[in-house]
Amino acid sequence: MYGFYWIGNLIQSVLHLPLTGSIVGMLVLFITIQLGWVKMSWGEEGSTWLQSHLQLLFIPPTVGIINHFDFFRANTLLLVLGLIVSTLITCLVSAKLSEWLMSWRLSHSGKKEAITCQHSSSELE
Amino acid sequence: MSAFILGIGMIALTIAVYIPATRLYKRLKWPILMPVLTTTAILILILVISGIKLDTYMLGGKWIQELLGPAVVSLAFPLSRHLHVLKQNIIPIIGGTIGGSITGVSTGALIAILLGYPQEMVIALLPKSVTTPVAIQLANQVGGNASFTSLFVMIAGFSGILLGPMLLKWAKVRSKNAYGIGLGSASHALGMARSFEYGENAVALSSVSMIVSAIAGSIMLPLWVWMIYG
Repeated sequence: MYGFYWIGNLIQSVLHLPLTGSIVGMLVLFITIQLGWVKMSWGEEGSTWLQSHLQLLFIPPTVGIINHFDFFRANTLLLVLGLIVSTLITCLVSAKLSEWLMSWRLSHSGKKEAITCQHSSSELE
Repeated sequence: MSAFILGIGMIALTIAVYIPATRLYKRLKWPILMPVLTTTAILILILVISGIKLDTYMLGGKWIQELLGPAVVSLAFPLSRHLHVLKQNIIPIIGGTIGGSITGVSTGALIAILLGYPQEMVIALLPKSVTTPVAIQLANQVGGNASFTSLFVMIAGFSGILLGPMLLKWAKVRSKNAYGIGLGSASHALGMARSFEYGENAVALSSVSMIVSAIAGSIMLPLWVWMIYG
């Protein structure tokens, strides 16, 4: 996975993509899995372990807030509140919209749904 | 050499706080006790009291942080495993995420402008719903203060994972998958970490929403700045 991370970083810097190396690396790994060049069993256990401890990985950057304490001393309470409200609206809109689209799909293309479902589950095996 | 030993010590310290914090959260399940919050709070307290500088902590911290890259890369595995769920939900994912991305930027900008913040601050705020590494690059690109951006991203992440699920429950969102999409598009990787409570499908959807928001943000942000400030 580290290898793919570096490949991703390399591709990103060579092509000047507006994405980070980690996301490019993930897309590359995803494609190689789909092509069958990389087996799921090679890294699945490791990836599950890494992701279940994802929170640990955020701790050092968040501890970095220490250097921003001045920001909180200034009169920024309203901005922070606004930011929270905006985030919550975002969360609500995207969840509601996606749920609505899911039910819309189910009611309008029930037949198509069944076919794609079968198709992809056989592909998965 | 001493830097190396200090680094190992800081990693050990982080893990020593993290493990009991995780146990506590598993037992009580209070959102405010999420390990990332409690561990960060305790570590800040330790650093402030003992007078350890942030740079010293980061000798070890940067190694933990380094793992974020491979962790994002490793998402390719759950994505492959849940490909059928993603294929079935491609329209809700794209629609929900882009809708969220547009509301996120416009409400954020509106609030900051109404409060009378200067241009630099407003621009720094725009990428708040995009995952940190991408947001920092974006802020630099459109002329915002990157260190404020990373702070805003964190606030967005934490407020989303703390209050988001309560709000969605109150708004009667029933689908666990929609929880994943909402958290992923509003609170990026932290939202994704929280989605673990809603099952593997929610995590897969959440990670895709995070990626789609990052891509949508990268494309739309310069456009937004241009629209607001011409």
